[in-house]
Amino acid sequence: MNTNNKIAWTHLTSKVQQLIVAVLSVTFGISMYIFMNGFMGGVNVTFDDIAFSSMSHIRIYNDSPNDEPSLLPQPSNNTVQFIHNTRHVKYTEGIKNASDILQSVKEFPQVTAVTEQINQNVFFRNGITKVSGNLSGIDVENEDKVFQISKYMIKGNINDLDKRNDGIVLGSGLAQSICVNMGDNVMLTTGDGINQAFKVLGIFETGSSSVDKSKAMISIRSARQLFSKNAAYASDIQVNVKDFNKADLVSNKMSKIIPYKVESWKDGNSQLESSSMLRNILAKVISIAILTVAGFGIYNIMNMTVNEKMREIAIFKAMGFNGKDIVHIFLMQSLCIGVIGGIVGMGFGSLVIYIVKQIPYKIASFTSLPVAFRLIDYVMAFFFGLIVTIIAGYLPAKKASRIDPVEILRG
Amino acid sequence: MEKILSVNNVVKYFHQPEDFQVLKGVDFEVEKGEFISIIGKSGSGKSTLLYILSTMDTDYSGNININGTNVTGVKQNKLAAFRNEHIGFVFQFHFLLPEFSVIDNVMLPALKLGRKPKNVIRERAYELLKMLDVVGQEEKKASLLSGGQQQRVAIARALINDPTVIMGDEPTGNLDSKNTKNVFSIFRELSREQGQTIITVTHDTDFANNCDRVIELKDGQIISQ
Repeated sequence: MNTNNKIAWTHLTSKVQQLIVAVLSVTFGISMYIFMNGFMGGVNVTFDDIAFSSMSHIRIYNDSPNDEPSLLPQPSNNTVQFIHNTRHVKYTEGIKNASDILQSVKEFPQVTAVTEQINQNVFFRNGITKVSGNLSGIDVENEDKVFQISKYMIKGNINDLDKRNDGIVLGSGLAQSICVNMGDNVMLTTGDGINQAFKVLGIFETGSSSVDKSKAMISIRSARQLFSKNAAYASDIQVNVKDFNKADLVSNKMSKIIPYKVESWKDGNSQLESSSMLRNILAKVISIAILTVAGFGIYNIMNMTVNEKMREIAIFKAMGFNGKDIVHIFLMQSLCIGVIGGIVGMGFGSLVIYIVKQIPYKIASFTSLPVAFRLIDYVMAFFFGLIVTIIAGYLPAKKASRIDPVEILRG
Repeated sequence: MEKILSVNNVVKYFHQPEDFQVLKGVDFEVEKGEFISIIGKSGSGKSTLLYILSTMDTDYSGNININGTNVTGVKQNKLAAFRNEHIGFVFQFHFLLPEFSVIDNVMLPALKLGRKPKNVIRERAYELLKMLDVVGQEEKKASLLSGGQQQRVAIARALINDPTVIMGDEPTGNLDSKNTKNVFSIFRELSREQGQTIITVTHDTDFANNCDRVIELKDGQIISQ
C-alpha cells in the first residue's frame, strides 16, 4: 500500500466512532437523495398514468375542414363573383377506412400500440334518470394496450365485452349517477334517436373524475351497429409511441402521409408537461439541498480531524512529507468516507423506498404510495455524493497542507 | 575534514507581535561527524536558528548550505524532500504519531523516501530499535511507551534514512537525569563511532560541556564557538 494511503487508513481506523458519524452523514444525504428522487419519479409516473388513462399520445380523427371551400373557379378579370352563405356539406364523417390507416400507422417504428374507437355522445337512461355522456366503442384487446384499461377495472372484466354484444362497461361515477350496478340494464339513446338496452358487465375508475363520471365503453362492433356504420368505420384512432415526450415529432411525420387530422397530446395539454417539469425541478432542488447539508457534515468532521491533528501534520512535514502528501492523506480519508457512506446510503435509500411503498394510500388504481426504483437515481446519488465529499474533504485538506510546522512544533 | 554545513550571515526578523530582530548575522560551519550544542538564554534565538537550519523556516536572509546543496530560496516541496533524505529531527517532546505502532513510526520517513523495499526498511527499523534498546515493543501503539522509550524511538526515526545531520531541539529537555544520560550517550556514540553529525539546542550545561563544540548565542549573535 502507498505510504500516504496507509497513513490515511490508520487515521480512519483509529477513530471508529468519528468514522461512523462521518459515514452516517453521507449515508443520510445519499439515501434521502435516492428516496426523494424515487418518490418524485413514482409520483410523476402516476400523474402520467392518470393523464394517459383517457388520452393517448397521438389521436387521429376527421376534423371538420377549416378552409373556405371554393365552389366556383376564380372568375376572369372583368367579372364580379358573389357567393353568399357558403357552408360545408359533409360527405364523410369520421374515418371510413380505419383499417388502412391502422396499417400505415403500425409501420412507424416508434409506435407501440394503436387502437380504433367510435366516440359519440349519448344519453344513458335508467328509469327516469337520464345522464348524457360519452360512449366509446372499443377494440378491447388494443384498447387495453393503449390505455391499460384493465388496470382500472374495479368490478367485472373488460374482456367480457368481446363475449356479449349487449355488454357495457361504465365509469364508477356514471354508474352511481344512474343507479346501476353489475348485471343491471342501462338504456342508451343515440343522437339519431335510436334506443338500445345494454347489460353492465363492469365498472372502471381511472382516478380522473371527469372521465369516471361520463364515460362508458361497449365493443366497437356493437358501436358500429348502434350507429349504423360500415365495418371499417372509426371516429378516432389512438396511438401510443415509445417516448411520449417525442409524440409531437412522430405526429408531424404521420400527418404527412395520413389524410386526417393527426394531433399529439402536447397540442392543448402543455400544462401537463410543465407541471411534470416543475415537479422534477423541485425534486432536484430538494436533493441538492440535502446533499449540501450532508456535505457540511463531512466538512465539519474533516475540519475537526485536521484541527486535532495539527501537531501530527507538523511532524509529517518535519519528516519530509510535502503539501501534496498531506492533501492526499486527508482527501483519501474523505474519499473513503464518501464511498462507504455512498454504498451504505444506496442500501438504506432502497430500504426507505421499500418501506414507503408499503404505506397504504388509495389513489386511482394505486393502493400504496407510488415510488420508482431507477438506476439513474442511484448513479446520480453516488456521483453527486462523491463530488460533495471531495469538495468537503478538499478544503480542510488544503488547510492542513498549509500548516506551518515551525509554528506548531515550537508551541 | 569534510564541511557538511555552512551558515552565512543569517538574519531573521519576527514581525509578531512587533518587529524584532532575532538573529543578527550568524556565521558558522560544521564538519562531518561533529557533535555540536547550541546554547544560550531564552530568547537568544537558538531554537529559531535550529528551525532555520532544519529548512522548515524559510523566512530569513543570508545563506545556508547543507552537504553541498544550497537550501536558501528553494521551494517548500523540494525542501520537504530534502529534509526527508538529509535531516533527522528529534524534538523536546518526542512527537511520535500516537495512532501508529512503534515500528511504523520508525519506518515512515523511509517509506516516504521510497528508496528501499519495505522488508529491508522494516529490518533496518528493528535493528535501530535494538541498538537503542527498545526491544519487544515494536508492535505497540507509540503512545503506550514511557517518555524515555518514546524519545529513543524518536531517535530511531531520525536515523532511519541515514541523514546527513541530526538536529535536536532540546532532546533531553523533558527527560529525567537517567534518561538524559542515556540519550546523551546514544548521541555521543553515534557521533564517535558512526561519524554522525549532530546539532542540538540545549539548556543543559552538563550535556553541552560533553559535546565536541559549543556554540553560544546571545541576543541573536554568536558570542563563542
